[in-house]
Amino acid sequence: MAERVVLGIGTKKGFFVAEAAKTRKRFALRGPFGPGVAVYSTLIDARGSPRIYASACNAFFGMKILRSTDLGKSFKETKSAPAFPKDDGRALANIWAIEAGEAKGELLAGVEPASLFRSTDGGDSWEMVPGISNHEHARKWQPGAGGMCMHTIIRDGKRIHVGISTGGHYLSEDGGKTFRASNTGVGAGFAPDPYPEFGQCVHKIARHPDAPGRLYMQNHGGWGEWDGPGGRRPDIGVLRSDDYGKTWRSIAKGLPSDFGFPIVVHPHDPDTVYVLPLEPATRTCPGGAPAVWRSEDGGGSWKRLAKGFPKKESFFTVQRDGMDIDELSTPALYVGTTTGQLWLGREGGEEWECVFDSLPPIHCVKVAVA
Amino acid sequence: MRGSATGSVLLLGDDASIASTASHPLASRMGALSLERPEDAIPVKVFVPGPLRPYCGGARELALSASSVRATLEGLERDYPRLYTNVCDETGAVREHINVFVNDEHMRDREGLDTELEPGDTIIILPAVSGG
Repeated sequence: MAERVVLGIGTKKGFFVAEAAKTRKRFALRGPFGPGVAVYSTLIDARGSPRIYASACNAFFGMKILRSTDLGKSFKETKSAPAFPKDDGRALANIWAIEAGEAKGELLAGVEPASLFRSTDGGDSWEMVPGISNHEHARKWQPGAGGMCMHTIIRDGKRIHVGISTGGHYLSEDGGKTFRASNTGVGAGFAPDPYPEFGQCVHKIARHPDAPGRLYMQNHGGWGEWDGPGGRRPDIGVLRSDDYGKTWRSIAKGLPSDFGFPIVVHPHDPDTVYVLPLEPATRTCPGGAPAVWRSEDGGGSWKRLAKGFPKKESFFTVQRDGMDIDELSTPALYVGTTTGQLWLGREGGEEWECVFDSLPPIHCVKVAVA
Repeated sequence: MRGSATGSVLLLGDDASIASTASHPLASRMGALSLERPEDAIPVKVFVPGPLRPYCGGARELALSASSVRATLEGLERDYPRLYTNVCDETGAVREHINVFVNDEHMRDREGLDTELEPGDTIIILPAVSGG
């Protein structure tokens, strides 16, 4: 069967799967699966026989993980979802990230309250990873507006990066046994110390697998006008690291706002990175005119990509996992909005069109070619 | 002994009357079901709402021997762990949007999880009307 472009779309009211030929001319939509239940994370695991996973945050009955083995035609609950040990005292509130582990069938899940879980059987059973979940800082992390979540998991051999809101960036270099806060240069606008050891409100971290030492971060920016203790904190929202996340520096100059949620790296060029700036006060598109911004020189300069987007009166939010990019030779970007629109940005975001206009509010979008 | 549950769980299908564990088709996969009960264990029924029936073989009601609401939930945890995790979180607390009634009284208006049960009581599990 010819490869298809497959989208996993997590919404406030269930999970959808969209599928198209590689031309991406027309997407067929299936769902909702787990109807009525909020889905904040999904994974299309294209290793071997493709599997699609989606977390289902059931407000009544707790967390579930849905799994499809037929490319999203049907879903079943896995035998269990991550759960804290009974004597831990914490209870799972949400699953914010599902990522593929190193071995086939291995999965990693970032959850709320911020902790990491690992499955070695495709999601049927889960064990808490104590090195970060019971880190000495863990009981000092605080919830951001979305909850106290571990939303980013980036694996690179024995190295694992996690992003926590609000906790910051933590790095393991021993396969997840131990983690250390690694936030030098990552600012915080809501604490007296503008550069604390940990506690930053990291929104998302991304990197290219061919340049594992280069990381890009969308941090909680919007503190340029701050007049409290510690002084102004401009440009702390969009950052870059060139040493595996040990130190970070701002690449926000040239953007209309350093506040935003998602950050995405081009699949074939580690120097090309995309953000979607939002006004920090309202967390909506600046001036009501949505745009994705692209840098092709690692954050040295930025270009506004807005052709096809509304020019005015559009005030949606794009959440931290609401943007992704496919891996075709000329990749397309996908942006899901809190107003239920799914936008496709052809030619690496040069031209935008609305693929679905009236889905429920979108929490996450992931794409794979499978 | 208060607050204990025995292994005596009976399944009631949508249109079934109470069946004995020995004759119920699901009895064999429910493991060792003891019909012996401590003197204070009381036969009660548990009403399972529709969305949760897939986690207990489709049963609308479960018959259980327990002396309190807490013991009833412990019985569910032991015999229907996947049903239990839908009702209670990892700390043992009843989930925020789940209401547990003893007959027509919410358990919070009695003694909560420590509410003692009488023979024939029905524990009713209902999702709260909430959301948006």
